[in-house]
Amino acid sequence: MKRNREFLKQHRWQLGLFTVLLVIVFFAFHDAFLYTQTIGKVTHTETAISGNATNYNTDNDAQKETLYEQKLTIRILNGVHKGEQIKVKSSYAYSQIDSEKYSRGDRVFLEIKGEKQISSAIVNGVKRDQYAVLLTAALVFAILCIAGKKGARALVSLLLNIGIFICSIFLYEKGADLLKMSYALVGIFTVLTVLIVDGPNKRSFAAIVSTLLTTFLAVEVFYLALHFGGEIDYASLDYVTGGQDLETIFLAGICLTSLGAVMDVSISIAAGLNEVVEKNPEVKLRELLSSGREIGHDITGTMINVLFFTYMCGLLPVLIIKLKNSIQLLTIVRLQIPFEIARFLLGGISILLAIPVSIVITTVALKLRRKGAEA
Amino acid sequence: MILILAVLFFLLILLIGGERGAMSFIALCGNVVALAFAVLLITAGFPPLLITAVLAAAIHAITLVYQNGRNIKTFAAVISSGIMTLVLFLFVLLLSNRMHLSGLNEIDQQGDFPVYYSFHIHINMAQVAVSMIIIGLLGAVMDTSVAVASALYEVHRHSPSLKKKELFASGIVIGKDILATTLNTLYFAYIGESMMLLLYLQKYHYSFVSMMNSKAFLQEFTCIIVSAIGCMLIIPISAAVSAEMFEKKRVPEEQKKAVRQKIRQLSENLTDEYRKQADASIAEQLLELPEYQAANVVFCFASMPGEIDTSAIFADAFRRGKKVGVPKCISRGIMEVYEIKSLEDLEESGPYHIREPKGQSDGKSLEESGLILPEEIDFAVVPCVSCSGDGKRLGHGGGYYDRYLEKTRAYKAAVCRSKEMCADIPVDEHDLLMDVVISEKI
Repeated sequence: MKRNREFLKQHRWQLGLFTVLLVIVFFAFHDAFLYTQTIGKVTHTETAISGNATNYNTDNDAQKETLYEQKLTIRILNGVHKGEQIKVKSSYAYSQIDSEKYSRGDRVFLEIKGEKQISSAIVNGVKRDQYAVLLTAALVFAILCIAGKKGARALVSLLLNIGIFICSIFLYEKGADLLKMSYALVGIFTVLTVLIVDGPNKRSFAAIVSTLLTTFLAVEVFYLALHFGGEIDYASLDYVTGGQDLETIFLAGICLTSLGAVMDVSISIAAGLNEVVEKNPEVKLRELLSSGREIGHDITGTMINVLFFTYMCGLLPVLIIKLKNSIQLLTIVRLQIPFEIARFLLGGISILLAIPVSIVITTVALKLRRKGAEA
Repeated sequence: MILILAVLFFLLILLIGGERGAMSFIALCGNVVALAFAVLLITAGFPPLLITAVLAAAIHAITLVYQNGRNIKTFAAVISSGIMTLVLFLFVLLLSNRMHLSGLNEIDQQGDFPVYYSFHIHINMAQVAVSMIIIGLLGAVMDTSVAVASALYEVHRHSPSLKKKELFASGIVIGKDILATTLNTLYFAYIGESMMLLLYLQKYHYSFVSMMNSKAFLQEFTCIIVSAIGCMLIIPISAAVSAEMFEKKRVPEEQKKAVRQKIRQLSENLTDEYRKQADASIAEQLLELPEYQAANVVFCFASMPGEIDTSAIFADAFRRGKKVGVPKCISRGIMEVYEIKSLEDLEESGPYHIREPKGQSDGKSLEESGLILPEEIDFAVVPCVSCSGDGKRLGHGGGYYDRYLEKTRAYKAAVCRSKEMCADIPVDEHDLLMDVVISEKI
């Protein structure tokens, strides 16, 4: 008993946070009343095989997959029909690429016909927002519980960055120049993030300058490669809407993409070298450079892998669908995903460039300061 | 264009990273091949979840074990990252079916996909969705777990007496320091990737609510959030696993103490005459080593009472005009080496009352102070409590020499009287092997 009470006392704010988040998640799971669309909850499913389908893009005749039909019992959660039960038919294919297999507990959007009495209804999409809330709550809880105040600071910086990014998307829609805006964004993000992470001091100053310089260099590399290597076919970029300057959008994406990684490298090197100088103010230039290289090595290997997996994971479904439609892996790599590859390579190049750039900048900044102190 | 970028990337990684850059590059290529292979296997009809599990293991081996070498740090990182991946695997498995993230999203379904491609491919895309999320988080989780494990290892090395609980606590502190930048790296990586999608959603006036319910947005969103959750949870896991493993490794310390005690008792009973003879013979042999004679910069300890007398070695080195360096304690477990021109430059100081180079560093430039960098040393004469014939060395337990000599390329000669030698010296990870052990000829 006593132990329990002590535990409660020690972890009071964690428990409080947990309760608050739990309430929010619970609310998100019961927010159907906020929607104007009709939402229902699947309470019962009956699944039966309804036939076969073949993949027409392959020579292999054995490539058949089963089609299923589901009879769903759905309880309506909002609107005038709240509480009513309806039966809806739905079908899906084994692969579930453009069809969904429903199970008990799923919340779905319904399209209902008929005035007072429901004459017919179809399922029109899955309601997913409650899971978005659940995931976010889990992340917030993990960050705050593990890192306390520092975690709170990281969260604030993240929220600020997200806010600024959303604002800029609205500005873009109002007709702001995307290229100028993304340069401005890079500047704002860098200054804000570094200052929040590290506070205003000479280290952060060096880190900010090196990040900006590296990003600038990476953009130049992109233009150089474009100049000598020719245009790429932007049509294979995802989510093209027409009327967009695709080259600019791609470039803006590149600037932002590796920004976090470049900042990470710059901050680590600036902090590390500063530490070396503080411990031994008479350290030789040569040794300072080799320390910088050492720190750089330690982080780049894994950092490049972070970028690699982050970019490549999203390609998986598309890759598999295309492969299964008798397109060769090499063809796909050559013609259909050049952007992901170019983006990854440019990200890697930025990370690598960040090492010498931040070593030089930090060294210069530290030397200048020392000279200033002597004068 | 891709080719130019690839060549540039390759050149940069070699130029800036050197040998280790080449290793990172090979590891990256290994990961590319592993991923491509996994995709082909899934396409061939193998169960996606099983392939993902195997792929995750392969990626761990390539990225962590190959890149960082087989040592206790790496194993701690692999174990913790493996646990984390497994836990998230189950979590995502539960979640992704509920969230209906499989296959193509609404936007892709409207494009030219359905025109050109058949969707009846007989592959469980719900499982592929799980693979997608897991592969996405691997990089970040491995990164954090390595960072925590290797930083914690440094802590453990500098203060080996720390208990499991204290190690865990300092692991958490380390984790807090890297957390903000890790989150930022993830955030920007995904923002850059999903910018096109966000612009698309904006252009077609998706409301916030419809965005939060769309498959397109939630596929990305789930990837980033699950990765971030992984990066957070790996901190305590990695701290706990590392603390546990490093503390287990500490056991030899007890054995070392026992051996040290035994040898000290032994040496108390040695006669002065034996010592004199032995020391002279040792110095004579050492001075004949070709490695010593070729060396320009010689590192040698100034002997304390009871230790082997090194004055003959100093005398010879001065006579031959070699640059001679003597260690000086800087802080706990850390020493530096300073040049001396004669034994007059030594004075007794420090907590152990060792003869050390006189106070050099105050206000003088590097050249004046005579600091010798570890890389400069060609030949090192190393003291010990006891040594085994095959080069295992037992020091006083401060770790000064192990830590310092690790940074040198010097030829390491330990000196030890034969009666103080011991066949069975307990060693652990960070004990350095000597290149030669010199004892007197009988």
